[in-house]
Amino acid sequence: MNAADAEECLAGIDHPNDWPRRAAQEKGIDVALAVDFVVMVANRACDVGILFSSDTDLVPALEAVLALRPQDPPACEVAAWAAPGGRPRSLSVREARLRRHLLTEGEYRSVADLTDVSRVLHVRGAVRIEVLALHVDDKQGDLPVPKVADHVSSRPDAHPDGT
Amino acid sequence: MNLYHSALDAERVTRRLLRGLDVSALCRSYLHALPGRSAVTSVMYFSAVAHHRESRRPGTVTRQVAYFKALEATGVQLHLGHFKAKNQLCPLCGGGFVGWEEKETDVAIGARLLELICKDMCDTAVLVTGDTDLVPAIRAARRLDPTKDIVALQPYRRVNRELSRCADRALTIRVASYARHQLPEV
Repeated sequence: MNAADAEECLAGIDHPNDWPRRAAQEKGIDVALAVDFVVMVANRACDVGILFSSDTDLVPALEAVLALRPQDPPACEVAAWAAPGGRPRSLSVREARLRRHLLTEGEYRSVADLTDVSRVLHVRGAVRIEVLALHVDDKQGDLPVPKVADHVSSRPDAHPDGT
Repeated sequence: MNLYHSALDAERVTRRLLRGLDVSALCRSYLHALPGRSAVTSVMYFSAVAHHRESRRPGTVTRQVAYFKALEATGVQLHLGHFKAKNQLCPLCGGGFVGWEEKETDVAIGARLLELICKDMCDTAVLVTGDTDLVPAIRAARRLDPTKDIVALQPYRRVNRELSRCADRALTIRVASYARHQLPEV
């Protein structure tokens, strides 16, 4: 993952003012994902769309695809992680038989992206601080030149109270 | 919920009860603002039953269900999502508390909008919301079929600049409209 990719990923993330003390939150990612999914399947950019998520918010996207392309087998399938011992939380739509893919830890390990995202995030944090500093500089440019310093440097012995 | 909370804001300003909105009549009242001679084909209302409010304000669910039934009687199609508990941290004291988030509603609105556009079921789609999360849905709908008009009809005090910018036309509901389009008392 390079910085540009990271920027793109971060576009949909809402950072609170006291980030990173308080966690950032995804903003509208679910709608954006649902929209892309529906548009791709509706435009027949793919034969089958596989929705890999356990977020029940996305169920309306599956329903829309089923309504737009009512075919058998359905044009959408679902995928979810299968943790050993746990019940897989794959999505389902009432009265529809969706093909389900379950992915195991072994499969995760074979595709894992080991980029340290936190380092990319820190780069972004630095950029943000720089921008803030620039703003401060701009403001100072408009302010009158501080007079105290001149006073002190030109007449070191003089004191404001006249002593 | 966006529209409901906007109506509550309007109540605070006017000191009148305005939450019993006749959504269908309210939508129809904005037809004149659309180009040409338009007619409403369908009105869909997306919401969720606030079961979590019942303990603090008994009767919430009964009132909400009664309101939904009244809306259905006026010909509005209902799409109900649900609320989900979410652990949140207080930004001031750092303590944890349980917040409730409305789930599915925004995605359902977006998915339904795309379905209407793809199936060519309307010429104009009017979204009554001020939720920025719907911006990608509006952009996609305009990309899919640029001939369709997408109008953002934004509730009072819920105006969102990004939403106004990406829609073909943006309108704001005024408080007077809330007052004019109330369901009759039962």
